[in-house]
Amino acid sequence: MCRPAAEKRYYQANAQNFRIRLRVSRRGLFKIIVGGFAATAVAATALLLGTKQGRAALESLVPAGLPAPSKDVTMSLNGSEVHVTVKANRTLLKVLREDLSLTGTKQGCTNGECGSCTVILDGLPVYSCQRLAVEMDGRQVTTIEGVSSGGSLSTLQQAFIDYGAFQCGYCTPGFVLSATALLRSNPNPSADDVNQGLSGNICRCGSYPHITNAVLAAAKRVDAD
Amino acid sequence: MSSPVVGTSVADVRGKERVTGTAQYTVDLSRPNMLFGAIVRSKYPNAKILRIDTSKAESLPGVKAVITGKDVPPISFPPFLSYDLRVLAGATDSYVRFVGDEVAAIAAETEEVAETAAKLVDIQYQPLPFNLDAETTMQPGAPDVASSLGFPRNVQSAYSPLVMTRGDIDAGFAEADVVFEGEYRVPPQAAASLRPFSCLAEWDGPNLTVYNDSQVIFVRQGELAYLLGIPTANVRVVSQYMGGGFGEDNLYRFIPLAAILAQKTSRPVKMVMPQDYAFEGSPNKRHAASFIARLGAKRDGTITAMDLQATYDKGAYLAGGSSVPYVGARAVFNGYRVPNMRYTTYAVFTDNPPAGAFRGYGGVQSNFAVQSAIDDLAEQLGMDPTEVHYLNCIRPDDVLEIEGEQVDFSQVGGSAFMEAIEKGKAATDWESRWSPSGAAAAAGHVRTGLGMALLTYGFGHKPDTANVSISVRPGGEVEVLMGTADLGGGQPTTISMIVAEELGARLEDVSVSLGDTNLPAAPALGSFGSRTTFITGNAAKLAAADAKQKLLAAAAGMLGTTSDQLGTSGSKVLVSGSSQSASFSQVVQSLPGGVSIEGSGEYVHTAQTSKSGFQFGACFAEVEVNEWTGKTVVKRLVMAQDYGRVINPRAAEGQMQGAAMQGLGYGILEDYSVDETTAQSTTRDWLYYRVPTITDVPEMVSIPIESPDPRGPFGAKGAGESMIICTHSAIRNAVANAIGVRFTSLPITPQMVIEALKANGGK
Repeated sequence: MCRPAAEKRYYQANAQNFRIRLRVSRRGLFKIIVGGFAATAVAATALLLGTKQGRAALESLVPAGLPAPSKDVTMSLNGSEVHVTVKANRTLLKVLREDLSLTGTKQGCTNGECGSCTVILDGLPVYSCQRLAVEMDGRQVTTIEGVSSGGSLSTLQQAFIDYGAFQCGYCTPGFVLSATALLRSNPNPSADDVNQGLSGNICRCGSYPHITNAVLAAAKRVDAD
Repeated sequence: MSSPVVGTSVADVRGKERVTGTAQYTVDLSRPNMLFGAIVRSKYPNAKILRIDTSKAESLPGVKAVITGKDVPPISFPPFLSYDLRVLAGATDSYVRFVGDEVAAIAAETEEVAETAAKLVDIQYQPLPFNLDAETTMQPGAPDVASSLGFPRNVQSAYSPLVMTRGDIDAGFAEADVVFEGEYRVPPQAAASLRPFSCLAEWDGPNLTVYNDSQVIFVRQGELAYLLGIPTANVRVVSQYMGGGFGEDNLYRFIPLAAILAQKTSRPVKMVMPQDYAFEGSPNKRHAASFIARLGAKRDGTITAMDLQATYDKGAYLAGGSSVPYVGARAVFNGYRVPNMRYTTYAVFTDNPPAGAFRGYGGVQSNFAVQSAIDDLAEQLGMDPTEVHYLNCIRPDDVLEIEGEQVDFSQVGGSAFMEAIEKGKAATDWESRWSPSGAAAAAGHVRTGLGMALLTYGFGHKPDTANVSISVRPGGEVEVLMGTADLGGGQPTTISMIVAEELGARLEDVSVSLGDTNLPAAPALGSFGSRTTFITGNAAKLAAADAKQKLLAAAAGMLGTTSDQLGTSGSKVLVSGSSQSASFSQVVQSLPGGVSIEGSGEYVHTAQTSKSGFQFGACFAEVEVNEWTGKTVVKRLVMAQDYGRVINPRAAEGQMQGAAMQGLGYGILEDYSVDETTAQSTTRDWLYYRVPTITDVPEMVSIPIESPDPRGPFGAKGAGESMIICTHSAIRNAVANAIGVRFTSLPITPQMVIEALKANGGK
């Protein structure tokens, strides 16, 4: 198989971008463990890619010059079955935003540090920039578009508005999803529980006190419902 | 009459879009057929470009254009924001001046190809000696940074020195019983907003449209027109939602670069900057600064002389924020009634990335020096620092000389300092808890301290104009047009409330169009410097009054009475002393052929008003410092702030708390670091540049103070910045109270605490 030199160069130059950087941030470690950075072949590949030896090992398996392989993925996205063909190196964040036009998932640091891109994966909040889309086969993903069904806001979203729990709003979808997952697992959180649960999301505007209030209020409202 | 709108907490009028993720920031936009841009940046802080070879990049499949300095206009940005920056380094000479200086730009079919191409641009540099130290850059023999840009000796001549004086400084020291001298230093601070810096540029014939998260759309419009040599009318800038918005968007080369690439390729070009750009390459970090402070005082704490010398590090270009040192000076003069003051500023160039605007522009730095120095003076005098502040702060009826003009504070809403100190002390139980050696009842390795700092800052700095227009539609809808951006400070809500209140409309009937240079400019300079509520709010109030007058005139005919018998409330015109009324909708529909009733308002913010907007406040901090680990935890912040009149209390509280969190970050967390041998930043992301998270939030007590400014809409003042001015200083003073170490630089990291305690042999 003969590949144009430019394409080979492209792959080689980009090899380091294909590496998934596994950096453990504040609650990243927790997420990686709890979220089960499941030992799928892909995740293992991602881990391997984090090291020089890993890249060499992978390159020995993949014929030189091949672009990233693609895979068909079927996932449950916001309650609907979705089929996508994705390249192995694309993150869930990119596929959601670029292939599926779901731009409610906001692109932040793309490094697993800020939480802007949080989605719910099988019930747990995860950074979509740290997940490969090929991992999503057979799994359930909820994005911000799936939180407000039929145009009506969730109790939590309404509480965010009522309590002024945002300023610029860029981090807000991520916070809403982290808090949604938190309230599902802990319907009656204390303020400390809320803050621990949201400690992996950054709000540079510093709307934190209002966010805590909004989540606590939403918990009470859900109780009352 | 319906209940008033102004003064009640109202939810963000664009909140639904934010909580559902439907708010589209620039990075969320796409166009069919668009190209992706990437930028090649210098790795050297000072170097001569010997050769640029773009052939490999150009031959990569999918690459549509590669441009370097020779392909961009050989001119600098126009004054006001960016000054001496060229669109690319190499446009008029062959030097790069900081790590991150832009050298080439690429447009390609995909982001990946663009990024790969950027790595294939081959640049040969001759590295030159560099200097990152602002304190030595003016010395003979220091590496030359800026002479080729018109700034010999690495100084910004207009501000070097800038001297502001009051009274006779020598006489002030002569009558002092005690003279205190201290040196203080503050680091850069990155805005560290989460949204990637991005823009989308597209041409339609001779017309350019640029989408960009921007606080300054009209300035950007003028800037692009000037750089591209096209009429301003041919440029449209749109900023519907802004992520971040702390001043950091003020100057960016990627925007004109995207426009040039889009023109060259006849395709829309989207530029998304990599995330480390928010730290290393981006201009507009807060200026690092150093100060020498001298205070002369009487034994009773009366300060007789205050002398400050400041050096602000501009980085490699004048770029954004030319007047930062001036604002820093004002943020001291506006605070104290000290009869003899002198403030001497130097603004100097180094090979650091250009510094610029960040919330609290100039004032955050000088506040640290003055508030630390007064606290240190109080210790030397054996006094409670609150008493020293109380004695010397500006009083509500003071008349003081500021920049050669007499300012009568009773005419500008008074001064809220004394009230802020009184209320802050009450809320912290200061009288019974504070002692010179901390607030802990018992000895232990976790020490508790109380500290405070005052803040003063201008708002609406620089003369400006705002135009707002209003249409009352046949359906009764009230549409407000104002060309300002929504940067998250609640501006659209505030303006809607002002219009509803003045017009007598229901808030739910009011909608706002904004963020587009096709709308009337309000304010023309942009949304920065705590100006939108005051300047645009005044224009909106005038526009609403104009529309109301026309509504009443129309209703008078319809209801068979005269205008003076009519009033408005709840989107209805009411007849005085009668149950008769007509809805706005009925009034508009009654007009012959009338489509809608239009109102317009123009507010001119003069040189005088722009110099005399004063924000006042105080922050009281309670900290715990662990003497074993060195960690400082801020337990409580009591914040008293003068809003003039609060328009939307919850939004105002959000601004106060958010500003305080950024101040807290600057005080103890945000440690921007550079490797001195390579000039590369070692804090290039949110992992290493640690901004506050929700677990860093202390208990926060907000105390709004209302002393209406007669010139503001309903008495309101600007309020978006103030608490960031002094929170870091209050925390520093609380740490000093807790462990007896008077830190002179920030952030106060655990390492600094441990080292200082070791050096002191413990407390």
